[in-house]
Amino acid sequence: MKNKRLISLLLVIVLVVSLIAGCSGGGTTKGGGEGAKNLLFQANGNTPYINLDPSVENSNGVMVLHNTYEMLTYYNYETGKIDPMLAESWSASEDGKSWTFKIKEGVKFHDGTDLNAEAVKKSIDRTMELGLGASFIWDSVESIELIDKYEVKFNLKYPAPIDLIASAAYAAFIISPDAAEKDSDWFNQGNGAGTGPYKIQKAVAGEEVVLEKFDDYWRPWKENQYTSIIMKKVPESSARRQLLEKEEAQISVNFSTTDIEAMKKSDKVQIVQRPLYDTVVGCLNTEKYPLDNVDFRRALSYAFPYEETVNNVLEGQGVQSHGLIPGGLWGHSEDLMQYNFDLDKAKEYLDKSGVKTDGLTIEMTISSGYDEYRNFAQLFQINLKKLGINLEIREMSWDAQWEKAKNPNPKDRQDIFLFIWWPDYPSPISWFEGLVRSEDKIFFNLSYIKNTDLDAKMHEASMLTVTDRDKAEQIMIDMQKEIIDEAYFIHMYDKSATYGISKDLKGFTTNPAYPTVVRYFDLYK
Amino acid sequence: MNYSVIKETIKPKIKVFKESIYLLRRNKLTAIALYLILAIVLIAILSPYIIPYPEHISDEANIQNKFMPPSGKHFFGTDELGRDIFSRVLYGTRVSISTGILAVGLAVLIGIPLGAIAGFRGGVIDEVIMRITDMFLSFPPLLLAIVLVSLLGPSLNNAIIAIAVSWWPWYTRLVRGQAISLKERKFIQAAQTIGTPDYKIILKHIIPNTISPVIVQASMDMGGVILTIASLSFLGLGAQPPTPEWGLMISISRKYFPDVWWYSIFPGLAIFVTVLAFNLLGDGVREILDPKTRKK
Amino acid sequence: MKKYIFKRIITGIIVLLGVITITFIMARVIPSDPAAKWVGPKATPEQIAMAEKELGLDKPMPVQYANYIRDLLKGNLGRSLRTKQPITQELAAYIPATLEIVIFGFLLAVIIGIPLGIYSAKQKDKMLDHVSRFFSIGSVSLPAFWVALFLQLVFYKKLGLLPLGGRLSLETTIFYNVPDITGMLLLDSLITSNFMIFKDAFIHIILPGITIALYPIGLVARMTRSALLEVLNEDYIASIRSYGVSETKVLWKYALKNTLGPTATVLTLSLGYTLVNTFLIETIFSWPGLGNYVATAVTTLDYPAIIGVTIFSATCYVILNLIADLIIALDPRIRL
Repeated sequence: MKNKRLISLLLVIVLVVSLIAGCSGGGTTKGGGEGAKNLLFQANGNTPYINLDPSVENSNGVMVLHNTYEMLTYYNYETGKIDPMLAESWSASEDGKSWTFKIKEGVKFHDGTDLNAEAVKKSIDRTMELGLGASFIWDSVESIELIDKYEVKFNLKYPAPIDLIASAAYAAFIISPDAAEKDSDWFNQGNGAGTGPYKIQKAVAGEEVVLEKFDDYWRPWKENQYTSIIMKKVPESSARRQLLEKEEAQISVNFSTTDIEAMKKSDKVQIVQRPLYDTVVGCLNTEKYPLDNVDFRRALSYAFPYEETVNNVLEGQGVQSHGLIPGGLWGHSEDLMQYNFDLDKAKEYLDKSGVKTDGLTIEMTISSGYDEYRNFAQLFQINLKKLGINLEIREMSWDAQWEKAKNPNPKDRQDIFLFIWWPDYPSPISWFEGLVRSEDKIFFNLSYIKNTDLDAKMHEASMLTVTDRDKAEQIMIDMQKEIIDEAYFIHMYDKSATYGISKDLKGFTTNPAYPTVVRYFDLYK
Repeated sequence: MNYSVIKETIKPKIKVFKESIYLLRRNKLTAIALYLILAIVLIAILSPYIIPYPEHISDEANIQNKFMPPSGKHFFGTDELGRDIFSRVLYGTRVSISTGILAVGLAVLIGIPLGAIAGFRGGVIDEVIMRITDMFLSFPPLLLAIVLVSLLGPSLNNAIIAIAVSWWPWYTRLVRGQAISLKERKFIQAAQTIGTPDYKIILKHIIPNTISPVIVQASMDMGGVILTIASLSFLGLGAQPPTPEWGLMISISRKYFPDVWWYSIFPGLAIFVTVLAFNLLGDGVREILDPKTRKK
Repeated sequence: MKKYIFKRIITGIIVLLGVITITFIMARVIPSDPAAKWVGPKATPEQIAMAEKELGLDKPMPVQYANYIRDLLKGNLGRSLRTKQPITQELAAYIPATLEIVIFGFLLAVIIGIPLGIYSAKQKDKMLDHVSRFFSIGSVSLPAFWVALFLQLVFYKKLGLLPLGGRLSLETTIFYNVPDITGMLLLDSLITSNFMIFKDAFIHIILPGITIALYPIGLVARMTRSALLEVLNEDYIASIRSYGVSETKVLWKYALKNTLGPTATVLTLSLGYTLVNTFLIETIFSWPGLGNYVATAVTTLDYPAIIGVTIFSATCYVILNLIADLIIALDPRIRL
């Protein structure tokens, strides 16, 4: 009896409360309401950051950090040149082994301290000492020397384009000297001090970040810029689309093709296609039968459904690759040969290879959670079936996928590794050094290429990038010809990103050298 | 996993077969469930021959035709590769039923000998085996399977193993109870007195006499197991594409939901109907075997 | 009696130790090279060796096991491979949201499941009983993730009545100061009498709450029905009836209270199942709880996080089992 009464009481309470709630609403406090006019909301499919320590983060968090921190230099993808950022000017020695940077004066960190050469040295030393994340980009640095209050010198072990490295998307941020003393946990509590136009106001791990304008930013603020930024994880594509259509969010990305189609019809949303430096390749295991046979690899290259992938799976969010280097970056050439989908040619090369397909199964590993990879992999599977080859698709987390690829025994590795490569800093040499250079210990050369001729050429090209770029470019194009002929990779496509943004938003741009980053300071309404 | 509490109180006995048939006929829901299961099993066996687009299981795609809503040509619409969802859902019956049988079978294979040994030998061995089963039963349902598959690597085979590993203790308990009561029976004691070795008694007398209750229990568990497989696949831990597994289909469909609603709804209906049929049957069998119901 | 409770608690602790051991074995034996994962891509062998030392992986297994137990006792579950954050801290951030739907579902199960069970017992073998039986079995046969999608399709897409997901509407999170006392929004907004937020949170919890409640509702209704039927068949009820007490009074005053034991047991045990069901549906409702955390951990193979959640959930489950046993033990009608 008593229980029943208790239940009814509970029900009544719930009802009354919801009734009251329906009538009230005015009496509650609004926090930060007056700034609402200049508020910008970006809905992300994924968590806005993993780690807020600028020396460590090499993941999503750069979309926060590039608004709160700055680097010495900035890569301008439209001109292909390196622009000054916190460095005013710089010069390299003849041999490329020592670099001097002149630091901008009058720049303040969020904690009020002034930017100077010491802060620069301390930041990069910290990143190198921690040795986490993308700190390997500073591998060439022997020591950092203070010349005077606003001048700093990098002494290198071997020649490297430090001006370019200093513009990297990861691990190149300059931190206030006080903050540089702190550990990662301190940063992850939402603290930090950079020179960027925004400060972190609130950070909830895995969920959201709120940024607010930094008044003492070294570039002048204008009336119509955004002063508060919210970045929040909204995992479902359809939910993000709804936010844009209801004008609650201003920027979002990473939609399903069905949602993009629907948004194209909305008068509240504009769809913006932005270039990326991401290339999607299938690394073919050249150390394992039958992919050690070049004709078999060519047969595979002819069996991949390039057109269906670009047109029907990606619905235009990408173009078929020409070699390794994506369009928009030097080293890319439209004259390079493309394999096209042609089952007859595939059959021809298969016969030529002499590989018996009877009951032959090859395995392709792909990162889990990306429906586009899964979809074209299945189309590929169907094509291969017609050649009598059984393709087993293994969706794995990146860790598991990579671990399998590093197995000491080539037989236990995958046959095809679906790899999305983007450069650590915007230089085409990244593709060669990452994917093609011979490795004693397996790293990212997951076609397991051991080609001393290519190694020599890429060394030469690497040395020339600083001094004679035209010559370096020619060498890189020649290298790609050989790579294509050897069919080390299936060169699937160069990716692009599709953003949905509010129709009122102006100044929207992205830079492929800084993937996923939107610089909110550029935006206005 | 369904009636964890109730389960322990059941002591299935099928000795009064006729009476059971009578009760089965009286209990309409159970009879319907039985016919449904027969139909499902029939579909599972015949699906490769009766589906309208057998090539859409793994041989062919028609991506130009993707995301077509349900129509006379495609009863359940088409998926992201333009394949016929109706064909794939029907074929999915075959996948779910066969993996269900494999998982339960494996769990039974682990559970029976352990239960027989524990019950027959008693003492320390019994204590150890039963404490281990307690530990395995102390994981919330599904969780142990999730952990195991994510550590072993996602695949349908690993999902089957994981389910068996989290399910065997139920059979061990059941068989142990049977073995304890069998131990007191004359024919076993007779075998012991003439010096038959223990393993022979277990193999020849104990295990064969526990088979029928185990089969009854196993068929009642099928619903839960099929649901678990679908759940694991939904989390990306079970079947892999292009296998037309229901949970996997729903998992993939989420990216296109709710615009392409048919891709999520129909495979889910298939799971529901199948699991429901087994659970209704299980519930009915439980009632039939329940002495309280029999009294009346 | 006291002896039984004491014994039961001891076995509970032993079982818990066993659970921890099983997870330890799984965590350390199956995956390879956790140190390499800790350092991340492009790590040098020296960095990996350093990480191995830092993580204590260079020590022999028994030492690792001892350290593991010691850390657990201190409430230290290690750090996530993905975020490098302490897992205990992360769990603490995600648990309240999950707890909120679990409790919400629990209340629904009580409010709907018990009356449903009572009425179908009263109307045994009539239409309502059959419908309720079908509903009970149906609700435990439904894949929760599918129910979630189905409800979204009906209430969001077709009717436009309820939101697709999240705990609050965006407007609320941006413009209002959301109270954070227990982390459970319904409770916090009530404590601070912030009815605007309460209403918003309530609207958002309806769909995930119903999805999660279906299973315990079915189970509770089933258990109440059979327990009540059993009680109604007992001799003492017959003798009460013979005094001419009205059937309604027999049911409500005498029979019902004796069914509370088994019903409470089923309710407690179904909580464990409910908890795991949140793993399947939280991502669908963008609900920032434990299930979402686990789903990410599973796709990124973040072993320490998966193990952390497992230990937490298994501990809850063992405690719930213990409580269920104690409820039975404290029920005076059961002799021990």
